[in-house]
Amino acid sequence: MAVSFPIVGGDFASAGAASRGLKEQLTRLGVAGEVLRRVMIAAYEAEMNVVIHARRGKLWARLNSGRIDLEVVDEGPGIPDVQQAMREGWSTAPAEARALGFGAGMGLPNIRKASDLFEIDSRPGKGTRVRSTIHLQKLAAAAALRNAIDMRPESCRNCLACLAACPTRAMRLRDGRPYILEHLCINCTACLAACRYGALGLREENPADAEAIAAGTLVVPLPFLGGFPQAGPAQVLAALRELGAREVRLTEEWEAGLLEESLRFARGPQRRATGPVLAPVCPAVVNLVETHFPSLLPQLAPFLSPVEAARDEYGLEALTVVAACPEQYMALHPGSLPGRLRVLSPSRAAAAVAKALKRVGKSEDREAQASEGEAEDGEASAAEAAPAAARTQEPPASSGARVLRISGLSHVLRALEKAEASALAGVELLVLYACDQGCWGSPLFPEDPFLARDRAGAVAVGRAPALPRGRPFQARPGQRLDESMPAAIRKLARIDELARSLPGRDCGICGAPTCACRAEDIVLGRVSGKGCPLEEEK
Amino acid sequence: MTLQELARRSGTRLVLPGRHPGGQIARVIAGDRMSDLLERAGPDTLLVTRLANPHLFRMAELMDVPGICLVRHPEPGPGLLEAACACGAGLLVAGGELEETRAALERCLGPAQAEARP
Repeated sequence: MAVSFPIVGGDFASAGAASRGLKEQLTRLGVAGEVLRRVMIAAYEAEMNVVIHARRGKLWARLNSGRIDLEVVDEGPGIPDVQQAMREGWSTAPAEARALGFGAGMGLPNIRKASDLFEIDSRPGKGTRVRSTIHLQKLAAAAALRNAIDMRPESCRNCLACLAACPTRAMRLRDGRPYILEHLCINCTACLAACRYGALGLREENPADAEAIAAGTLVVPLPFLGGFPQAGPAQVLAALRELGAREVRLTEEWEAGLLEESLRFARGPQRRATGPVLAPVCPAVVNLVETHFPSLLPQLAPFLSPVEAARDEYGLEALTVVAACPEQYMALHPGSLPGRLRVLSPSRAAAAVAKALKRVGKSEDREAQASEGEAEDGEASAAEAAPAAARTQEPPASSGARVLRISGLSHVLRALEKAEASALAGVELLVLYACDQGCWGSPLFPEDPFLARDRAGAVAVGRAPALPRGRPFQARPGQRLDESMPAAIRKLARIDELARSLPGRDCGICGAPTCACRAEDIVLGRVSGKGCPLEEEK
Repeated sequence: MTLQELARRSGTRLVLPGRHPGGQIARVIAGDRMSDLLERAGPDTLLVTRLANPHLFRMAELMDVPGICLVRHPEPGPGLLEAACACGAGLLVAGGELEETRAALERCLGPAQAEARP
């Protein structure tokens, strides 16, 4: 379905008519509830921008399978500085609009917040185009697409670093803005680590950080405790208690249990596949296997990842988890469990802790030191009390097991290729982390991983039981070119032919990471071009 | 709580019952900026505002808002009443200021409002 509605600039008497027309159409099609609410926010804000600023415009809406695409194009003055216009409170609306309650400088930020995908393209003197995509079933769609990366296009400088960094070639630049082909994205942190301008980040949804920390049990990754140059782990724990956390546990507790159980599985009778068992400790690596190495699926130990196990252990109890990466965020998304589960990004949790650390002060520092002593004596909470021997940084190799630990995506890719080629003889358990040095190297932690590790090295970690998976691992059709095999073969031939005609510089200037990706984008209709834009210019 | 019950408890004047008089109000949202109201409006909210113009009602219609309370505005004119009728939202009028009215309405909602918060 596709509909369009004209918008007349300056006509306040008819303002809202386009959005109302769209609502009528969508309601007839059964769109309702939160999805309709979000569509209306985006449509109305975009429509009012045209009424207030432009001569005329048009609202387009397309209902595709599973999502609604909105596009509002206007003939107006354009926006000289889009980045500035995206800031909350920045407005050039005339007094007439402000008197009616408009022009608060919240229009574009509101559209972005309401959208799953937001793009804006503006040319001074020509006009502005705003695009918004809203999934009909946001949570289900997000879970299926496994993407929790928030794009802030206004911060993008077109440096192309994310294109080069993405190991699955999921990144694109469209109209000079970052764009992720979600079916290819494995939610690793490569693009986040590559972006120096804050154009990519973790999707945030919790409004009150301190409130989330005080909600009940708090689960934090060990690197979080080591991430404060001004305070040791014991002081951070004291600050978390000061913020109201009833109990603090470490993600690594479930990781320790998972590794132990995975090793037991590798040696047990229920194991059917040959080759090393893959411990599903890093969910981004699991995504990578499901997308690019489906032949290795039988080698994945059938357990939940550490954060999923923490989530299920607490069930409907109040639980807040500090996620170390986008994939942990997705696994823990509040919509994925009908309990009182909240997820915080490390930066937001760290901001709350930093404030609490100031409040704790010197006297509390002494108390915290005492608590550290208690923790070592095994009398405090699980995160503080477990025996040091259970530390997950040490592989569970006490029984002589051959455990191979590899971190960093380029190394992980090579290891998976070797596993696929049966070239890892003798390895019983393969433990792979997408981030360099495991979660310590996640770009969501601002502290240097070596320093954080040094600081948090004294913290002892307990061991929580591994939980079996309810659903088996499944291959994801991320790379499939078409549902139909003959059609896929034809498309592949066209892609190969087109790719050969491209210069092969893989410069990224077209917005695709390689010329082959450019060819694929053209053949699959993702972009409207015909070849290399540089060559076409010549 | 229905709009009628809320009006009775809060001492605000019910001018129009709205198209769905049985609709439940669970949250009160106060503000004078359209974007702020739009972002938080929903089918269980009462908007409290000084914005007495037809755009407010059009926005309320888009967001399925069941009720609007205008403050410092004891007598809405015919144009406003027409817009309110067209949008289907109930209309309350309060003599007090924005924050004062919001607080009074929230007090009336009491536990219902608390339950509505995540």
